[in-house]
Amino acid sequence: MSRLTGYAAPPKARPGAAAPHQYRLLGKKVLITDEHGRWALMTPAEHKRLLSGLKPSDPLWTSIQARGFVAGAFDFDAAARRQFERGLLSWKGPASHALALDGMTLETARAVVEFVFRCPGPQLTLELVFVDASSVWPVLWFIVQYARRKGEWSRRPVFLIARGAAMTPDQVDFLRSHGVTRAATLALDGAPDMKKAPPFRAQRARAVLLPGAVRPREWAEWFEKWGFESVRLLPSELDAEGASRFGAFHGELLDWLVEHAEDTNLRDEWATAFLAGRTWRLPGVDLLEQLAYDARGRVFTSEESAAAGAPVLGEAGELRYQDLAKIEAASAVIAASHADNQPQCSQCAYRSYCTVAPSINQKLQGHYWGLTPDSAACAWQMGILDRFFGRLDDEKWLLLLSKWHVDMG
Amino acid sequence: MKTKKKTTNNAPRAVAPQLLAAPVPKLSSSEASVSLDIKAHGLEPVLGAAYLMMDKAFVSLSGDRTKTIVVGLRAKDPKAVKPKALAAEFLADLETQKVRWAVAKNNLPIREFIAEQAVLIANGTIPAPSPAAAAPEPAAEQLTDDQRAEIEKLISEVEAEIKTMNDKKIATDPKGVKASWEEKQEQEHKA
Repeated sequence: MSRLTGYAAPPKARPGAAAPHQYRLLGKKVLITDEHGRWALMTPAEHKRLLSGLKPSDPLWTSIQARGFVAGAFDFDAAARRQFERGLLSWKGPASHALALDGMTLETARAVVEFVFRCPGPQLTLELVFVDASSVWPVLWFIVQYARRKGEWSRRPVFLIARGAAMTPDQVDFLRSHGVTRAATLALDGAPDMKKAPPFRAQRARAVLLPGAVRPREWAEWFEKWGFESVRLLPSELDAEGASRFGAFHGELLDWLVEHAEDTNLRDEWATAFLAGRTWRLPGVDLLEQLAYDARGRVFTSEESAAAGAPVLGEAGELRYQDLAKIEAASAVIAASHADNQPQCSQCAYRSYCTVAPSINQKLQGHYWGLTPDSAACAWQMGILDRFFGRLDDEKWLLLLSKWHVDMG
Repeated sequence: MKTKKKTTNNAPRAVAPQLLAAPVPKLSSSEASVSLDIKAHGLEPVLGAAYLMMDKAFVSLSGDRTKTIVVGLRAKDPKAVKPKALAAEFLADLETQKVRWAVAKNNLPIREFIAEQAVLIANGTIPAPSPAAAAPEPAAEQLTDDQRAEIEKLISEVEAEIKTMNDKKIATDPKGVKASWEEKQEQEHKA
């Protein structure tokens, strides 16, 4: 289902020629990446030359050496710094905390916010999740106020996101005046009705792609028209068919974004998440990126695991952050999400950009570890990255990425 | 499993990959099996290629991992893929795996050195790349009296907010027309 690519007649790799890298065939191009997020696109003939040993007189030598792919002219200090910065050695704790507010009491909300602020890290994001803001308003109001004060007291930037399906204009005003980003939960079906407004004025869209969703370009225009700044598309079903349908839709949406690179304000959230080159910042990666809390204040490794009801790491009011490391489930999900521990991931060109969240593996395949060749989630994420990296020789795509503050230099 | 002729020389056989004859798979109506000399092909590429087949086939490995391994491939969907195609795909993957493992092994000392240096940076033995990488201390769990007082004030404000919401609800809908069935039942029950 999700596969590494290979040459029909594989070239030979001479010792001391090419620096550590992985490769992937993307159409007529070859993408090579290292484990610290550096990349280069080349032709198969150029890759063959790299593997057999580039000479300094080769026109490719300067650009490839500068990117750290020539073993004989390798900048060890720079590579070590990049490994530190982009690897788990510089991980500071889960940055994103998803709180399910429906049914949560004020007392629980207070305990959860206090637990979130016991987590280390230079900044914290609290994503407040609900169906209708009116049904959780006192708790939402309290968390916004309390988290803002806690942020000031701990002198850490706090990003607040209110994500739901319904919100009144008054609630939108309150959230806007308190610097809370509003994210609308949407389900895309059929073609958009350009005259139909979203349920409330939101900056972000978290859009589930239903099987009937068509005309991605028109949907892009609809998002643009109604003032969305970013969209995160999600497949309704994560199976082979769902991943393929998602790929076609997402590809066309990206085409539209590239065509309107100069004038659109819309951003694809997957691009900014994947291309940041820190796999522990991918949305929903258990514990490394995210912790989730249910209405009872129970702590989970991610929203996905909260939805499944397991594994429970503890109660927000009782659990100590430093005790997380002693929990076997926590160790298991961290080990399972590391590319070096996954046979296919360790050889994948996207290893420094991607990991499948262990709780997704649990949901799809019944165990945290997952079997990547057979994983629809791996195929889905590989497809997203193929679309991003396949466009890296397109100036307009690079312009768009730079507009989104994604540094692919 | 086939037995191999013993060589007179006890030293490991050095077989140049390009001189190897391509392994010939044995095919039955439902399964393909490929016998592979580990010294010639390497253990990691064989295991890697076998792992990659798992989306299409049930893979079995038998034999001695220091000498010869027999890889058995049985299609998960026999109608979709025939044993011959499975074997061809496995052998193509095996060749690719050899390239990938060659790059990995050639660069093992480089990767080890980089990892060591990165750990030294993390330990502070080598200066960190930028001050931004330094982690701030976790927020103090103990709150000051002023902070506690502010939380209490916040909670009383929330309670006032709830009361205002409820009053507003009554003001805009005094007869409770918009009330849900459960709310009406509750009100009647209270009355």
